[in-house]
Amino acid sequence: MSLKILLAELICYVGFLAIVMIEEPLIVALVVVVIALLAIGMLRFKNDFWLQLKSEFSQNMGKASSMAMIIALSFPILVAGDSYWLQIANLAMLYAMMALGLNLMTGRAGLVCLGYAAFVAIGAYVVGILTLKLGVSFWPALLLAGITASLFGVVLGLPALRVKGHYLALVTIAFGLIVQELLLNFESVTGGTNGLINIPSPVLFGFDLSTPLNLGFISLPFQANFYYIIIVLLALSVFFVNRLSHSFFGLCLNAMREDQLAAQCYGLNLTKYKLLAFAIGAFFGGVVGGVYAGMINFIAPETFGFQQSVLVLSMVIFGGLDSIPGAVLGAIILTIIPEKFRAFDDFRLMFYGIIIVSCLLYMPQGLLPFKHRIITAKPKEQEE
Amino acid sequence: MLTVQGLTIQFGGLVAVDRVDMALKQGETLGVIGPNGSGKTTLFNLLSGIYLPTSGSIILNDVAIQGCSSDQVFRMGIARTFQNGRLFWNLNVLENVMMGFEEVRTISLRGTLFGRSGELYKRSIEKATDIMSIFGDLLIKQSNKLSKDLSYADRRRLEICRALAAEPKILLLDEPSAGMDAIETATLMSDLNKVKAKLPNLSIIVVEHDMDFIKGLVDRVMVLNYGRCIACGSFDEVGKDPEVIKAYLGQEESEC
Repeated sequence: MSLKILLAELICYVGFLAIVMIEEPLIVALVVVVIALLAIGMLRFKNDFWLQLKSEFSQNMGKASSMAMIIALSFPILVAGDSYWLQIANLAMLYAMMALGLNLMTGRAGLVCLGYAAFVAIGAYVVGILTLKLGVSFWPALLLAGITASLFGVVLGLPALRVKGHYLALVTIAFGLIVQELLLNFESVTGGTNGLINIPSPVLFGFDLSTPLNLGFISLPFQANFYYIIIVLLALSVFFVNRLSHSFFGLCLNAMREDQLAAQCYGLNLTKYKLLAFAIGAFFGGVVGGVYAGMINFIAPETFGFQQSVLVLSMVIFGGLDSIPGAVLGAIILTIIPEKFRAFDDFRLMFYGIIIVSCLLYMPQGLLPFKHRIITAKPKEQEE
Repeated sequence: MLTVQGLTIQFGGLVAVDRVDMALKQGETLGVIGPNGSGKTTLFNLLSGIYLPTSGSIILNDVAIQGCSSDQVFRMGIARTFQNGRLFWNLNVLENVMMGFEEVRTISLRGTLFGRSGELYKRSIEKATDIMSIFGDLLIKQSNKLSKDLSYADRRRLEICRALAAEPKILLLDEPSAGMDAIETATLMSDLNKVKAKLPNLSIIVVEHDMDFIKGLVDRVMVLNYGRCIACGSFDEVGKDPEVIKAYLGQEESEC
């Protein structure tokens, strides 16, 4: 039975590799359309095979995701050191972590945030400043980046306590803009528009991550180092977000999303839960920013603009609000597809607009909609 | 147990609740009736901490609670239901009941990340199922439905279960039978009487329009009109009170 999951994942992986390998945009477009049509067809005609596969996956989520991780480990070897695609994969996974963090805020706790890029910027600048100017080593700086972003999450959360819905969205947009302006104008610390250059690369157990990775039979470009680091971080993020979401804490956040007044009348301290949701969500953003700074070695304010915040939100909506696999898948698809259509780069924002609108119209629950907690979903079967 | 003195709230020029005094003993059931707009729900909102009173005091077991926020009031032991249904719509029935449990709110971060959530869930589910059994298997067989998919009557029942899950000292029921037909109302009344028998220490305040329901459930009735308490006593006493008749039926035209 887990063989079936493995096979399904391998097929998806091969399809994914095919999309990555094919250079010609027209053929890629064709493949994407065929896959989309196949998927829609599968969903429309709910045949037994599809339903069976679906229940296999939902029953063995842990197994399925760890197998997917192991399969994904082979990616740098299979693309044979294509540093361009390795970098895209790294970015896709970083986006996935951001989407997970934002999903906790927006999907689970119902706090719409359109300033998420600000947390990433804060994380990136904390790592940049600490490693470049103060000579702190990368790993403690990374942890500090997450914590600082969390603190800023609380700072954003405090005014956000008084507003809900659209007004909250506006406050978060303002927060994103304020952070960007601060980065631009605090030139002595942040380098202004020029940003920070030559941020040192991280060193792990004496191994400089900016040197090529030699596996014995194949030598991979330095991006492969980051690929493996980020995939571990992503796995940790999925684990923690999963634990949080499926715990009583996640249940409380859900209740708050459903009805704030009723949640308060049932003993939830809204202040505490809102601030916690912001802090935890922002933590992931900060870590992503830190890794990004160490990987690219260069950061500037415009990297973390409003467009990025919208992008992450569209990933969450596309994947399915409050769905963990949805957030990861949405981030991967929305990073890979635009890369394949680089030729039409100018239309990128329009492309995201179309995705959000059509998503809201035709599948408001996203690619992989949220499923109810497994344990609560079948208590009676055990007893009867 | 619960003592309310001179409770008043003013919205601009409107005095919605006007110098209301009441006292509730442990295990007592008090009915609050009155015409629409007489301040019954406002009184509940004051008791549950949603509104801050303009003046007056609410004392629960020698502790003044009139300045507390609604989550604090809930933690002190006053749980309420809502007149127009405020369930957590996209959570299933079990989860709605579980939101009343204390352990859901008090779980530590360590327990969340590394604890054995499976066992915790299982215990809570058993507890929640036990609470829902006051309505027979009506709710239990729908445990996994989202609460927005429930029928109107079942939503009211779920509201009551969620409040009972908190093991409150005082239960505030805001029109529990609204939207139910006569048979459902009668069943609800007998179910609530069963709850009363099972939990003799639970005090209940119930707002209701259905007089048979009130008659069959409560020990004492309080009548509100224009925010003021105009009568208080047993159901039969209150029914004979001329002022109550006036409030409900209007003043008799004097023949002259």
